[in-house]
Amino acid sequence: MPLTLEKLVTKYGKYLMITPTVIVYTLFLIIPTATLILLSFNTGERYAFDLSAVTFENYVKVLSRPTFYEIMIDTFGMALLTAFITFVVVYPAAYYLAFKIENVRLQGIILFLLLAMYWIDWNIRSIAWLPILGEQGIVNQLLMSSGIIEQPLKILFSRLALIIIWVQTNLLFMLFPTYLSLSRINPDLIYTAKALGASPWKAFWHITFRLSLSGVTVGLVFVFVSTLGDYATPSLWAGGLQTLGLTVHHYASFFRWPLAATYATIMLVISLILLSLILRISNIKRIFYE
Amino acid sequence: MVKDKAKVVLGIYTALLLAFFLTPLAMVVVLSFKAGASMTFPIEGFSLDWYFAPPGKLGTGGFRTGIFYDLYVTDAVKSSLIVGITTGILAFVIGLPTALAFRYKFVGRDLLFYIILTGFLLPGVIMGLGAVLFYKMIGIKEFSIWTVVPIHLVYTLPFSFILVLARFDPMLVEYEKAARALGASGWEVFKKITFPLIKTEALSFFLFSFTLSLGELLRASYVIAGTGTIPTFIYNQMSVVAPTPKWYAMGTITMAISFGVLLIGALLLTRGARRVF
Amino acid sequence: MKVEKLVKWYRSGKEKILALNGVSFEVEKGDFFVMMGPSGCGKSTTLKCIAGILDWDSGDIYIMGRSVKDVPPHKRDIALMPETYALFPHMTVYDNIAFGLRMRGKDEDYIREKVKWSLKLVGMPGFENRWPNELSGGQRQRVSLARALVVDPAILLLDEPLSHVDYRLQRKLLEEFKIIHREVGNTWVLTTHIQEQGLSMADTLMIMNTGVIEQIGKPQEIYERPATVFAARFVGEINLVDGVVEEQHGEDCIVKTSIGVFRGKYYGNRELKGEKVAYGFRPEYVTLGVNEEYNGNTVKAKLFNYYYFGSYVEFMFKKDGITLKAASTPTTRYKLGDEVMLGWPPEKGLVLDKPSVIPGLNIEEVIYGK
Repeated sequence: MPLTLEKLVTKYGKYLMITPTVIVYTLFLIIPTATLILLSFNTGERYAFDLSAVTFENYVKVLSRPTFYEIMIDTFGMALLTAFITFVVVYPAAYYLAFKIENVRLQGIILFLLLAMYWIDWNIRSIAWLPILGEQGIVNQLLMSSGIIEQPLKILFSRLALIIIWVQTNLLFMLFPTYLSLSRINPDLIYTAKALGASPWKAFWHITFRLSLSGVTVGLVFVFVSTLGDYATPSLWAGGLQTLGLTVHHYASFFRWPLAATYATIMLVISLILLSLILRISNIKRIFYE
Repeated sequence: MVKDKAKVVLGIYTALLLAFFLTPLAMVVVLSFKAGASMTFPIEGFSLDWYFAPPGKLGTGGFRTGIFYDLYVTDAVKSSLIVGITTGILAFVIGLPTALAFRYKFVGRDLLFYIILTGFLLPGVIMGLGAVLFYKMIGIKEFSIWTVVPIHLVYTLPFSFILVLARFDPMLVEYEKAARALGASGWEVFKKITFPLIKTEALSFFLFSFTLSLGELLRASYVIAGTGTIPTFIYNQMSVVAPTPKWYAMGTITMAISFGVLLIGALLLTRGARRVF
Repeated sequence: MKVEKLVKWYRSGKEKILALNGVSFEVEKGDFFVMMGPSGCGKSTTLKCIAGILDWDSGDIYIMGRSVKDVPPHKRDIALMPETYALFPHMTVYDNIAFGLRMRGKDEDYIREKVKWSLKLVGMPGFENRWPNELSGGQRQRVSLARALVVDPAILLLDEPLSHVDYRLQRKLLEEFKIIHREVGNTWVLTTHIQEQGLSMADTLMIMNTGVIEQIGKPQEIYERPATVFAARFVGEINLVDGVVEEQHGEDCIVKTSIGVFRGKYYGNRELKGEKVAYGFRPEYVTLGVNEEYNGNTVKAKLFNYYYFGSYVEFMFKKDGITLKAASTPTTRYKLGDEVMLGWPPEKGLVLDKPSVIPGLNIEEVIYGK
């Protein structure tokens, strides 16, 4: 059969369609990341990678600092904790939206409204907590006027505040994927389980929950990543808590690019390992295009 | 009959959660209208000063000007909008064909999926830092809002991408094949079959990318100069000056912009939908 | 099991549809009970109410003498095989089948034995470790059946178990169902919309029509003595024409129709003289080419079409605008356009006074299908 233009387009058209994306991602994601990793093997204040000056000096320096390990555990620990707390907090609401609201349009509108409220600037959202958690804020005013405490509590600049703010910030990162996977569960499965002898709780646990895990995993990953890289919120509200992100930012702002790159690379490697583990387990591509 | 107790309990819980989520935002809006420079309750009086006070009315110092008069703020808003809209359009232009291509198998599909996903999952500092180094390496020393756009593109596209992928009608490929079997050419298939069915998805691409870009701070902060986008501008201010309700006003404005955009989106996208995603 | 005056509305927004209109019937222990009817007649709804996955508005259901109105599904002694099979995609075949038993707290050894037994019963030994997405449609269905069987419920509920399976497999599975039912001995309640399945499988057959019961009885009873036009039509082919009863003596009637005066049987208990009725006779009782000495009903009609089914031919005749079908062994005696004398015995003529159990229907409309 003759090789027509049509046939060429049909067979190779899809490669054409993805080319711009591939280019963009290569240029602006892969290469920058590679640059970063390479630079971590240099030292000083240079910003361009110098092959002749490759050394592990930065890594040695960083990995031998005891504070580094504290920071690492702090950063990853807080991120994991936030992810888990967000999951626990969000799941019942996601369930409610997916199963208990019948009108699909209503579901959609609620979700979109949440989305809209969500993209308010990150920092403004967090300063909104000032009037609530601050020393003259509502919580303190309430607690003091009801006599529970004498002095205003210093809630705001602490880990607790950070977690609260982070949970609120990431609520939707967790809600959407969880909701997505919950709403796609075939209701036949649930009532069949009940008609085979499962009580409502057991049906939920064995069927609904298990089947929603793929979305939950995505949500956990989202939240984990977004809190991991966030230096802004801790710098403003965590009162002195040092995170990896902050460290990177710190060195970058002093133009010590290679050292910043070293911290960043370490963070990158660990994150990638964790992420690929989680994604592998949950087989994420299955929910999206297979 | 088994009454649906769960529905009531969960409903209350969800409402409380929503309250938790929305209260700070509501605070921001309410407090933006307060007179006086303190950041918390009680509210002494209402005023539109933080929006409209001309320079000098509330005292000297730029941070006491109403935001509509504050050139820095309007500059930042403009920058954010330009970056956001450009990102949105580009995301749509390159993202939609990619999403369409993903319905078919091709070499490297999984790999591309993970790469795209990484754009969203890569922590902000890493991406920001990498971007700075990259630009410097290729010789771009001056940053502007245009250096932010590609980074935001990489960051926002995945979110729209996966939400749109999840929304595609699995029958779409079948419809296209049917159209071809009836004699339509490739272009006609796209124009008359594919595009009408994915109109809403196409719009989603733009909307999600636009709003994500508006709120993005970390990555933008590395590759921007001048006043910056709204988030970077605000962050810089917050680290330096004492807070005033002016920030609340700025927050309210950003919220209003994204709210307006997404409300339109919500109405358009859920029209006649049988399921949301 | 006893279903008593069950009423159910489906509500959606401001609209409501009456799905079950006071349905009442009883099922005997150990029976193979089939609920049959067109889509939307309420059979699946009834089944789901029995299972407990649908609530109803008024009336009650009793299982083994106890009302199950406030009893949730997992406390009723039932197991369900749903129309879509609904195999749990995140569990192997073994875990799927074991599910009901695990919910009932049985120990693992017992479960292992039972799973093996049930897989053997449905003809799929050794499939324990497969995943649902690796199975064909017929296999999934058998696993779904095994999953419900293994629980040993008092009542096994099957929703359209054979409706999505290809014809060959249907026959095979049908036979297997009956064998398993005899072996296990519990009560089975099925739904189907396919007439042959209902007739061939059921111990007791129930015909439903938009929320009401048209007729319950043994399949043969319903086929030979249908209570309504709807029932008569649903269980098999039948020629129908409207007419008026001229005389009635006990079961025997003489009916005057637009195509002739015929004799038939009436199995109801009303006085029909002068009443409008439907007169019907089934194609398989028609003899082609009878002569004047034939002692039965006759009508002369013109052959306008026929369909060859291998073991028999369905001839289509027209008389005064009315289509009549006759089923006969293949013959080359007639060509299209011939006028043929059709005959059938008087005792095979059916006089039906009710178009349907649903009140207010016009018998002519039901016959001629408006």
